[in-house]
Order: sequence, then structure tokens, then C-alpha cells
Amino acid sequence: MPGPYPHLRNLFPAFSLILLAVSPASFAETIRATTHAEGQTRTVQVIREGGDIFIPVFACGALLGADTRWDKATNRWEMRGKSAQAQGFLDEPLLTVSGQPFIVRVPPRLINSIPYLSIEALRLLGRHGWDTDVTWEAVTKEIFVRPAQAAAVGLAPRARTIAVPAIPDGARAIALDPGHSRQAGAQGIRGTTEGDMGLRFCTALSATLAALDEAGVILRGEADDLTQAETASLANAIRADIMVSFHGSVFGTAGVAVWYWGMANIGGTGINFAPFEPPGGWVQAAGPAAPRSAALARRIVKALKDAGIPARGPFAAPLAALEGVTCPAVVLDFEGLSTAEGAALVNHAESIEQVTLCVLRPVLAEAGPRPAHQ
Amino acid sequence: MRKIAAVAAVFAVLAGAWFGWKTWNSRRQSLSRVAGPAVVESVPCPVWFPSRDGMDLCEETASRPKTDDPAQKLAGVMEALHRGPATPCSLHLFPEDSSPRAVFLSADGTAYLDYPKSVFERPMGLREEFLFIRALGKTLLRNCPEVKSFVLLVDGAPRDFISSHMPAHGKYLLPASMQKK
Repeated sequence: MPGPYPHLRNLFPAFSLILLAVSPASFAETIRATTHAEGQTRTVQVIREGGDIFIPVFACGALLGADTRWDKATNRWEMRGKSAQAQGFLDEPLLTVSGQPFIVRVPPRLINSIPYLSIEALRLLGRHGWDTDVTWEAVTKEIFVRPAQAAAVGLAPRARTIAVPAIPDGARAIALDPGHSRQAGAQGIRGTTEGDMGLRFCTALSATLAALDEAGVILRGEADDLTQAETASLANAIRADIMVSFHGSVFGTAGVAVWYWGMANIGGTGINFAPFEPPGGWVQAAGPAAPRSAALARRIVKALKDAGIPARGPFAAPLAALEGVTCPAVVLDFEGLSTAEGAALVNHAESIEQVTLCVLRPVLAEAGPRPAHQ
Repeated sequence: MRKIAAVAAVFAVLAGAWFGWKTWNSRRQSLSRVAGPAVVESVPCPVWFPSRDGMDLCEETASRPKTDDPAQKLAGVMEALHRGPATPCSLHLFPEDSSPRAVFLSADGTAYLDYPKSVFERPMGLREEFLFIRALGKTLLRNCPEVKSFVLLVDGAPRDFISSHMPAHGKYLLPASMQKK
């Protein structure tokens, strides 16, 4: 039965809530953070909000050994280290670390007039800019900043030792890229896989080149799991005169689309590409050879059309398969692998031979004269 | 004694404010229950999907919530793309039931489209990836004049390529001259 003042019972939780809300001690706590540089221990005020931990931007900079600035007028914060620079705006999820964009779940924000970053953002800055791992120990309330244990998730090519095949004296080196490892890539009908298909064309072209005393170097064999950056590095290491990369698409009707490296007007769409990497880096190394690559692509399209094989292009795109390749290079994309005609084009010995010849002549023409015997 | 009285008065004022807010809020909620969910006005929104033969794009008219806010408009357009095609002549651009982790429009007109890794884990051929970029670019061009470029991120970070062919380590710049075409 309700009493004379039924709402009075609401007042007690109200008092408790108000007291909790206004008490700074309830959401701010002091934790110990260890810097990675000299193993220094310092104390910083962090804010815990639900499951999120916020650390003052200036403390984050100190932990990473970076100079930190915050412009109150624009809400822009910035950190500068010896090898990295990071910046962003309060209340925006976008951070840039050395020119690369990142999106965080919890944006930086102003709390009690102090700019704060989430532990998620600090981890990201450490990992991608300062080569450090940041860990938060919830039980002991400690933040550890240590040199990164595993390789940073970067965009640069991986470094590992790859055997570079020798090119016979006087032969032109034609790099042949199956595009993917054997069972990887797009899956067409009749068990056609993109990697398997690419290897078949590479093998056919390599054998034909060998018969002409030229060197057709298959960049990855059946068991190789080389990345595209590694195949490009290998093509550069053998000083390839030309590189041909084979790919396949389930999409489309049966035929071959020929692509070369270019960042403008991708595939005729008017869309351009601007890499985060500054000019002069790996990504744009294919640029100087692009005009010759385009000429080679035009020749191959013509040869295919003359042979009655549906051919499309040539198209420009900054394809991953052509990044970093310094010689003229093209991608042949066999489309319509999900159609009977498309599967036949890449599986029948006769059509493989026909395509091989259509590629061979333009490749040798564009490769230039044979090198003199030494 | 005076101190106690002052503290009691402060508590009384705060409690009164809280009680007042609680009463007002419950009344507001009961009113909204009677009125039902707010009706959001929709506007047509042209979207492009890969054609079923995978050679071109098909245009469809979807809908998005009416808004003048560029960021909300971008979110609405991306939602329409995620809903997928309504006609059988087109293919889905994104896996069914997928959604972005975040869609953010920066002050310089760059749309950052952040996806979970699973969205691009499926094997995609070169043409499929090309049509993905083309459909996305064309849809953004026609619906969001504020968007000058777009960036694809996976789990909040840039990566080398979309699936294995088209790059994802940079910005795709939309041609301003095609904005109204």
C-alpha cells in the first residue's frame, strides 16, 4: 500500500546518483604507466568510462616519446616523433599516422577541459607509428609501452630470402606471374581456380620461350606462397625485360581483359587513385615504365582480337600485381570463368596455345633486341 | 546547524530537479508510445550494382532518409548499397547481412568506409573488384556531391588491396566533372 508520500522513495536513489555523478573520484583513477624508453614509471590520471579507458593526449605523447600539441581553437591534436607523426581532431574517429588513415571506435574527446585519447587510439599510434605495443592491465591498472614484439602490420613488402634464378647469357628475361598460389584466387566452374589457371599459361609461355632460347621465368611455382610484392621484387631482381601476370575473374563474359599500371582514369571510369605513400616509393615504381606497358597491352589486345579471341582494353589501374615492377608489365585477366566458354578458354590445350602465341609476339617485340653475349 | 540546513536545501533542490525531470520524461515517453515510432521521410536514391553477367553496372532506385547533413546522407546511401539490389538483374555489391564498422566523412570530403575483415575475405576476381570500385564511385558521385574521394579501411586500418587485385592503400578520387552526369 503506498504511503502518504509515494514519490519520497525515489529521493534516496536520486541523492546517491547525484553524489556519484558529481564526484570526480568515482570515474577518474590514478594508474601507473611504464615508459618504453628508459623503463621509467610515471603516474597519469586516466578516465574509465564503461569499458573504455581515456588517457590525456599529452600523457600519450610522453609515453611514446613524442612532442605533443593541441590547438584549443581548432580541437586539433598532433604528435611528432623522430620517425612518425600523428594527428587528429577531438570528437572525430579519424586519426592519421605518418600519412595513413585509421578509424577508431571511440574518438578522442575533451573531458574536464583536457584532451583525451582512448587506449585503442594509443595502441594504434604505438603500433603503426612508433613500433611499440601498448597494453592495458585492467587488474593492476597499468599501461605498458614496449617495443613491438611481432612485425608491425605495415604496407611495405615483407623481407625474406628468395632464390633469384640465373638468366642464361644472351637471353631476354620474361617474368611470368601466375597471379596467385595454385589453389588460391577466384573459383570458376569445372574446378578452375585462378592460381591454377595462371600457372598453366605461365608454363605454356615459358616452354615456348625456352624453345626460342629466351628465359621465361615463372615467378611462383606450385608450392610458392609469395606475396605480390615479393613476385614484383623477384621480377626486378632478374632484371626482367617484360612481366606478364595472369589473373582470372568469375565475373563477366568469356574473354581477356588486358590491364597495365596507371593511377588515372581507372578502367575508363574517370576515377583516379592517390596512394598514401609519398611519391618515389614502392607503389609508384611502375610509373616510369607505364607508357611502354600501355604499348605492350595495346599490342596484345590487337593480337588477341586478330586471333578471334574476345579481348577488352587496354585498361589502366594501379593493380597490386603490377606495383613495384620496374619493367613494362601487363595483367591478362581471363573473364567469365563461371561460364562454359570462359572455362574452355583457360582449360583447352588449343586455346591455351593460341593465347600463348598472341602474347608471345608482342612481348618479344616490346622486349627489344637480345642482349649481346658476354 | 546552518551548514546542515544548507546541505539539506541543496539536496532538496537537486532532488526536486531530478524528480521533475523523471516525471517529465515518463510523460514524454508515454506520449511517444501513443504516437508510435517517428516517421522518417525518405527520398529516392540512385544506386549501382554489378549486372548479373558481370560486365557492367545496373542502376536501381533505392531510398534513403531525407537529410541535408552530408554525413547522414552518406550513411543513408551506404545503407541503401548494403540492402542490395531489388531486381534480379543485379548482383550484391557487399555480402548479404554485412555492414560497415564505421562511415566517416572528413572535412576535406573524403569518405572513410571501414569494414570488418570478413567483407573482403571472399575470393574476388579482378573484374569483380573493379566493378566494386566503379559501383561505389558512381553511387557516391550521384548522391553525395560533398564526397570528393573515398578510402576503404579494414578493421580501422588501411590494407594493401581490396581482396587481391585493386589497391586499398590510398584514396579513390571521384571526378568532379562527372558529378552531375
